[in-house]
Amino acid sequence: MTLDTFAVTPFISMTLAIPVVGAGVLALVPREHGSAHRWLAFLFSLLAFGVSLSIWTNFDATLAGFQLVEDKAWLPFGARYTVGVDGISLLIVILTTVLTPLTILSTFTSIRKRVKEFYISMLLLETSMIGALVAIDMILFYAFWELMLIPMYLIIGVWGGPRRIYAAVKFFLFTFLGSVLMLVGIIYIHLKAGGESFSYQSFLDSGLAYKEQLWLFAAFGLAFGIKVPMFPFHTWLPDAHVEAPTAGSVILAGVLLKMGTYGFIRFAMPFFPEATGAFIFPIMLLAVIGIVYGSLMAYAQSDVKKLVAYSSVAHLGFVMLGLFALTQEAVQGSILQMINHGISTGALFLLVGMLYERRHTRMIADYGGIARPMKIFAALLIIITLSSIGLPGTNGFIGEFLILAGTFREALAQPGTFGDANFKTVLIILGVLACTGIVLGAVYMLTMVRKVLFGPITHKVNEDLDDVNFREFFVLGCLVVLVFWIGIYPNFFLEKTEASVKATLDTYKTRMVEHRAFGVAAADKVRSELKEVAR
Amino acid sequence: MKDLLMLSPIWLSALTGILVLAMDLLAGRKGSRGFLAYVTTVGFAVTGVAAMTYWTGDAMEAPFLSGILAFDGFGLFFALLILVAGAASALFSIHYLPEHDSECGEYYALLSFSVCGALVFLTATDLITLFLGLEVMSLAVYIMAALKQSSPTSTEAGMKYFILGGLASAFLLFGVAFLYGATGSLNLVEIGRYFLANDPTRDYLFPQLALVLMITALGFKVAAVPFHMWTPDVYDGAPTPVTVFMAGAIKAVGFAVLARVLLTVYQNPAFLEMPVSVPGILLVLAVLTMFVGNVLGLVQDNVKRILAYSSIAHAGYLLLGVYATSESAGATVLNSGVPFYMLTYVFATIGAFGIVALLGSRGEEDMSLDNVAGLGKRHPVLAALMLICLLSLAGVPPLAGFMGKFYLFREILAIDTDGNLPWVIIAVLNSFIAVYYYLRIAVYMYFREPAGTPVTAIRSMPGYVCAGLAALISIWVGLFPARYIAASEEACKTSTLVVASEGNTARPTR
Repeated sequence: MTLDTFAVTPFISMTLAIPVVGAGVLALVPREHGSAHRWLAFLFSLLAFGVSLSIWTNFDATLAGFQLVEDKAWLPFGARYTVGVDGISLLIVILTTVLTPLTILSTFTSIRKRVKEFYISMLLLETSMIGALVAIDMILFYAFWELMLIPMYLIIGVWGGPRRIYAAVKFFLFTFLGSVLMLVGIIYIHLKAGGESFSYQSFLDSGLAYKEQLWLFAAFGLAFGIKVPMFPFHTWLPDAHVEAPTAGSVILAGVLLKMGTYGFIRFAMPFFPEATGAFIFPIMLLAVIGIVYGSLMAYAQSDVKKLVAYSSVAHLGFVMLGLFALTQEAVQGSILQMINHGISTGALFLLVGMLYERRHTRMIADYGGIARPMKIFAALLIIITLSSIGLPGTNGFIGEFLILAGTFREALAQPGTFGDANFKTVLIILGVLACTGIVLGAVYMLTMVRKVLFGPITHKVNEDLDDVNFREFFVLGCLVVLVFWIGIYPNFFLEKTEASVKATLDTYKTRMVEHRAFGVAAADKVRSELKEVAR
Repeated sequence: MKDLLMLSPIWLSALTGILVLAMDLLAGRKGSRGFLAYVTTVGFAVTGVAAMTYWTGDAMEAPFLSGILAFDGFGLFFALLILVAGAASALFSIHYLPEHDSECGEYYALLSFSVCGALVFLTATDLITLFLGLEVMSLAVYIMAALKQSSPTSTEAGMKYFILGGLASAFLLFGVAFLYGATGSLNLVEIGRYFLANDPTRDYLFPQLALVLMITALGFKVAAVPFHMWTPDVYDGAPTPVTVFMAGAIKAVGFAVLARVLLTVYQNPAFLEMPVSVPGILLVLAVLTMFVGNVLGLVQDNVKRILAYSSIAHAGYLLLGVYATSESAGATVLNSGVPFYMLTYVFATIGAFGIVALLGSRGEEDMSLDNVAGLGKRHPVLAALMLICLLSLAGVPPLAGFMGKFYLFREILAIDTDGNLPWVIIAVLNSFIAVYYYLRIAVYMYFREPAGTPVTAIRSMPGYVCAGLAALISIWVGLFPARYIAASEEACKTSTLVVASEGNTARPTR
């Protein structure tokens, strides 16, 4: 039997299945062979990456809809096993399959206890993340979405730092609370749409009333907003990041957070277009608060890992801002920025992890001047830092530039004059505030780099730290290549997203902007009242 | 002859008990009694096969023994759950009983008789037969709960269960008497028909009293709040394999009977307008049960007690399922989320309690969280199985418990989307609360270093196999639930005994 006998070669299902098979194989290998577990896990994740490249090459960027769709009956009442990719999910799927093997490679020396269980968790985590991205049946999506929690919970709780139990339970409870209400929302829409199907398309066509949409958007938005994490639901993130082992942080920042922003653009926004409009102003406001607040918090940290964690809050604020600006550039920029954040922040966590492995501390004050013993490390850290703060030529620049350009373009396209209580004023003010976030980003990142890498060596142990070894260099080198690739030739990636984003905006934007002024008048009232008080 | 064959699951289970007694006698005074567990399991398996062969379709088409028992799809579904829980209980006992100095052959006989009683209780359509089944089932369990003679908590559990159970039986009998007074019949079908044909609002006192009394009695058996007080103490004090049986089989049969009796007797929509109505009571019980079970579960520090409160909370979700059916006027079949949910719950709870049974060696009866700390390191396989069962109980995908909750909530909302939305939201928030205490056990097993006196697991191959199967089924049903949902739908077709047709329903005359 050749592969041609399938209507579609099931590349997506294969990518999903390979890590699970790998986890099964690992479960059978006896506990004593630690390095066998490491290499097997790496090989299986590499295999998944290889197959996922077939998804990439078979993807036709000119088409907007889902491609490589596989559809099989699964449950009664219309829940099906339906998977497929489109321009919105493709890049994040590839990001997942790239980051997982690299992360596994990075843990070869840092994970010493319960090696077998660790790699099983990593592989199951990979499957569940990819599954949530490719599922286009709502119950299938929900199952994968929730499944992600268990391996991550174990990774934080078993292999984490001293306060790992608190962090793991907090992580699980926060995200679970958001999800259960979304489940009720999914069942509700399913029944309102006839009770026959859970398919993505039937949810798009459900024809919900505006008032229902508001509640449902709130339920979905809570689930996704916690995951993003949006201010003020972000409090689980610093704890989870700080306590998680390096690999956990990389995957958490690299992929898991993207599930939230992905959920907005894929589900919440097109399902409830009118309600999205009403929520645009509050969400953009929260996004900008997240950018500024995250940056300030990052600046105040003395723990490198916590600094990177708060910088994630700020970076994801940019992504949310771009998504809700609703222009072609901004949304495409947001999708690219999700990838960028995965690469840059993932790499930062890896770098922090390497320092931690050598010195067993993450306090900035314990370092200083380590550029001298660790020359390659210093070069890599500087490159990644520059990418994170968006220097032209690196990936971060492209994403942030597109987001801000898109936001301002949308602002200028609005009727009315700047200064009146209208949406134009709001967008411009928010855009300008977001720009300050870029400056703040440079401030806290460069300050951290200066304190860690340069200056005199204040601690004697730092004088003879080993530089990165070949394995570590390879892991980071791959990410650095991506940093410049996206930074110099972004179109290679952007063109994949173009058609899908365009189709989504063409279909839903007119309905989304209908209620966009919601909250603007209220904000104006608050403003004038504040003026009164000031007098 | 056909009657005898239809009856075969009941006499086969009784025969298993007699066989066990005889073999116990023949085996002499000394020697292990473990083989009797296998005899019991085989007996239950044969019983199950017999039930699958002869209990099919709608019993109403061919009334059996002048209509005192109904062998139909609904009975079959729950009978299989009872038998599975019974067999699991027997297999977990093999090494548990000798380890805790309470081995005796009669135990397996009692278990068989209890299963036999449960089957009668389940299939009875005559209220006296129903009471008889209840007593046969319960009396055996009272003794089993007090089996550990050396342990004061076990004796206390047996005593408590006996006294409160006796009270509940009295309530049931009282309710039966009122129903008899109101309708002149003890047969559920005839009672249902009577209320459909005669306007029930005229003499409403008796049916209303009967409703309250019977819900009290059945609520006791399924551990619904406020009739749950005994549950933590008895589940905790009883030998753990007996807890497996109580939390699995007795809860399942209790729900089946509760749903069938209430939906059959109070079928006339006129009952919905009365001050004390079935949905009214069930809703209050459901919400109370969910909240009390889950909130009290948070503050326990003993694994067995946490699981006991979890079992109370699950009764709440199930009650909500029965509520949704009873509340919609003219609904004649139980919402099929209930049996399916019960299935997912039974397997997960068998696994969880079963593993607890395997955990304590001789003298280690204290299952406090400190004692199970570090279990993931000492017994990785048992801990992993426990984790699967706990996550299934918590309703995390892709496990069976998630499918059970998802399907139950979908069915509840499908009956009345807007009306039931608040209750479903309460239910999902409760399942969120519950996650905390399930995770707490996982935290102790995996994330903490041993404190207290760590328990060591009994070496018991049959127990391990059972626990493994329970976990495996919890995964399997979660991934491929289609045929179990179909079976549940099939079972629900015969859940109510009298089906009201438009013509013969008497409406209140105003």
